[in-house]
Amino acid sequence: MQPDALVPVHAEAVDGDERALRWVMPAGTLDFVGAVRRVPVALQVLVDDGTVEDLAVEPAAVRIRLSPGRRWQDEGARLRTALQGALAIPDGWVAADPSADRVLAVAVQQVIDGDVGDYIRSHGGAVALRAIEGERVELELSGACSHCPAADLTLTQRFEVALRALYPPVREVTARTDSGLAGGRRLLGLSPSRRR
Amino acid sequence: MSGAHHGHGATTKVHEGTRIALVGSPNSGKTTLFNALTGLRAKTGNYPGVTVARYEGVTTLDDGQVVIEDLPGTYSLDPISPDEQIVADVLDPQHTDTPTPDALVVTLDATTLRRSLGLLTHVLQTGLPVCVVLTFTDELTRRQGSLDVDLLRRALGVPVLAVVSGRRQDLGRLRDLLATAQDWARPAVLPPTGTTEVSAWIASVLASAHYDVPLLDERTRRADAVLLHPVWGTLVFFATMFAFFQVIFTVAAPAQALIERFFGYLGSWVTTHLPEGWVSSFLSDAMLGGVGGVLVFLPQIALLFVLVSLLEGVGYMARAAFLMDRVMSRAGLEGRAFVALLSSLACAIPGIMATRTLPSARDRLATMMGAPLMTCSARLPVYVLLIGLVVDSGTRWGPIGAQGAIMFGLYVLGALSAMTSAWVFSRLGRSHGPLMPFYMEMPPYRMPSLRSVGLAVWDACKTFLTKIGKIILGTTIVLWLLLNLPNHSVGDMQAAGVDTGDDAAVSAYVIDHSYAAGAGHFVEPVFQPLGFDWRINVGVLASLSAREVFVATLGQVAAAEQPDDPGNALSRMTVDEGPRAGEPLFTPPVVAALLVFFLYALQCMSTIGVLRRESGSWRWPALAFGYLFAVAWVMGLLARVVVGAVT
Repeated sequence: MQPDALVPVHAEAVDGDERALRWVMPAGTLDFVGAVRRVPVALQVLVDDGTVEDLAVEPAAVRIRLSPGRRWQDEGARLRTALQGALAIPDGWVAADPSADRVLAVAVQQVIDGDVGDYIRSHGGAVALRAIEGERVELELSGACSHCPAADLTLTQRFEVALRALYPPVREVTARTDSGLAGGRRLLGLSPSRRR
Repeated sequence: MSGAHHGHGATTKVHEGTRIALVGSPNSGKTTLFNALTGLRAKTGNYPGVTVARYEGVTTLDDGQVVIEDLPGTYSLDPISPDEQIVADVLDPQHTDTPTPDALVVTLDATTLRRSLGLLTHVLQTGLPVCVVLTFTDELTRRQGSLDVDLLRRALGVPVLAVVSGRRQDLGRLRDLLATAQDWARPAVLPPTGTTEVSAWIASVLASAHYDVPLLDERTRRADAVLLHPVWGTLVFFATMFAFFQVIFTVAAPAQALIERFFGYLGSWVTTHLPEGWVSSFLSDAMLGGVGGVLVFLPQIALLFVLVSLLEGVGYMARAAFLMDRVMSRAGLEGRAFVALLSSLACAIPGIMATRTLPSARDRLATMMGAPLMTCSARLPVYVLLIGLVVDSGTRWGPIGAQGAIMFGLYVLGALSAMTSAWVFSRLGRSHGPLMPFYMEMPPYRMPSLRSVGLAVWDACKTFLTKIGKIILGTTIVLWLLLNLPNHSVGDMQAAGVDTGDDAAVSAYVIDHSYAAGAGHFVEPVFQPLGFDWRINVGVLASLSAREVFVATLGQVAAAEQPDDPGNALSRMTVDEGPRAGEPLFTPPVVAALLVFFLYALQCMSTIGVLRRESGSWRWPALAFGYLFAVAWVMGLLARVVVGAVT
């Protein structure tokens, strides 16, 4: 990227909250998640004059909610400029709770709550975070995943890809599966419709 | 998303006169989508003021119909060419000459998404409901690129649908989407407008949609290594063009023979079943001799369009333009002008309209002046007829058919003349402005869609048949009247020493003393040096309306003079007066002069009309007509002298 290029951002809607938008930015632009205490001046101005009601950092996005009565159609362009200016100085962002190093945990949760989690649940599986050690993630796969031969594929091709997009430094995603009905064997064909 | 709104009120509201326009860059699969949606029910028209073809069709949804409009291909809404101006005007609600559509479908080529999204940012600024159709996603996968459509939809904030051309399932989903146009999701914040802001936005959208740029298509890369090679590429180009004309002649011949036999049968039926008189004469001379004579060329015109649209569909046309850019720069033009000239091979009208992609006004006019010289499909019947008169179809020079070779030579001469003319005009109008950079997209080689090829051929045949139905039939009837009037009584003829019992002698007398003969004789001094007699003159005069009329006219004259054998009448026709009386009329020198005359002269009212509209004044068409006539006459004389000296 050229030195004077802008931080790439675009806005995505937040379901069920018209005043809020997720401004997606490259993962790793900011090194914390959660509420902020202070942002660079360009953006702070909009917080101070009451345009922005609330502002929170996600693993690869900034979620911004406008104050009541403000509309994105009117404020969007101004806000984008301010946000891009602020993101160019990551040191100017101060987390409300700097002690917790939770970026990876939030990213994992976001993947579980998002499309990949929906995909797993739609197939009768269940996924949960079990442990994080350093940059390693251990998940718990249960339900239909236990006996599914495609579970590994889902884990690496879907979960890990989605997680890496939010948190590039992640080193490894592993899963522990309960032994389930199949006794740990990965088989298809336990569905009732198939008879032997 | 929008399915929930698909209630009663919405559906009735949506379909009453809803207009949805297709916007997309050239080669983005927009027209293929349009054809798939509207089938054969498309109708064409013009945008007010300019002659940019306007394509409109109707697509049927579950519960009604919507009008689909296919806008010209454009890379942005900051217009630099007249084509792009049209799109910008149509999408501008302030611009009241053209109705603004109710919703827009933007086709984005998934293999060139980074560039295509730039157009989308412009289109979203219009504030109209927008949905995105991703095309060529199959090719993206094949070339090892990837894209998550759901994530792209979320990032853009508008409906996004991947439609692989011709896949019915995809089209069904698109139709469902079109039914709910008013309820389409809209982005909460419009994309930015500044250049750096836009590229940052595009980078962000693509990253979050997990877009992987496809590899260069391996087949395309390998093919281009040869086809764009300075030496091999040029050789292949000429070989392709040569094979092109050989095919047109050899493949169409059986179909032509069938049509000829059909008209021969009709002709004999008319003469045996109808009483002698003007009805029979009108039917066999004007209708069968004239219109039938032109209709015989339908197979060749269909074949020409099959080949042209195949070459275009495969992606070879862009390569040809690239190869020719060097040659074109000699003529002071750029490669895109070559595309316009190449389209003129089919017809000068689309060729002249294709000049709208040229940003420079000087280049446009120079190309327009050259385009009518390219050998269009209307010249084809004339050439075929005339070549057939002096060269036997069996004649071969080595492995090459002589007729096809002469035809190829005429095409080359036409192309060279078009370039020369463009060069002269671009020199004349030279303003010392900066040279525009030449850039052109090389689409990957693709299998042409049979549907598009079929539609192009169908369109061409329909146009040809309508032309026969209107202009040619009209001119033929007028000519028939002119050739048979004034009425001569039996007494007059006997007084002139004509044997009234001999039908051939009577009709020869009638024609020789008709109004048409008067006109033919009147212009005789002009064409005498070229070796044209009054019958050819009548044909040349009549062909001012449309070139094919020449064939119809000669067909009529021949049918009237030798009603027993009109097929061979032309080759046996002799000069009936003057110093060459008694000699065959269609000698090689005269035919050469005629061929060359037709190569240069601007005998096409439709072309003149289009020139008038595209250039904005009568000055240019008048100039074109005048200079082309002068050139045609001089070159015709030259051809006659040269061929006369050789044979």
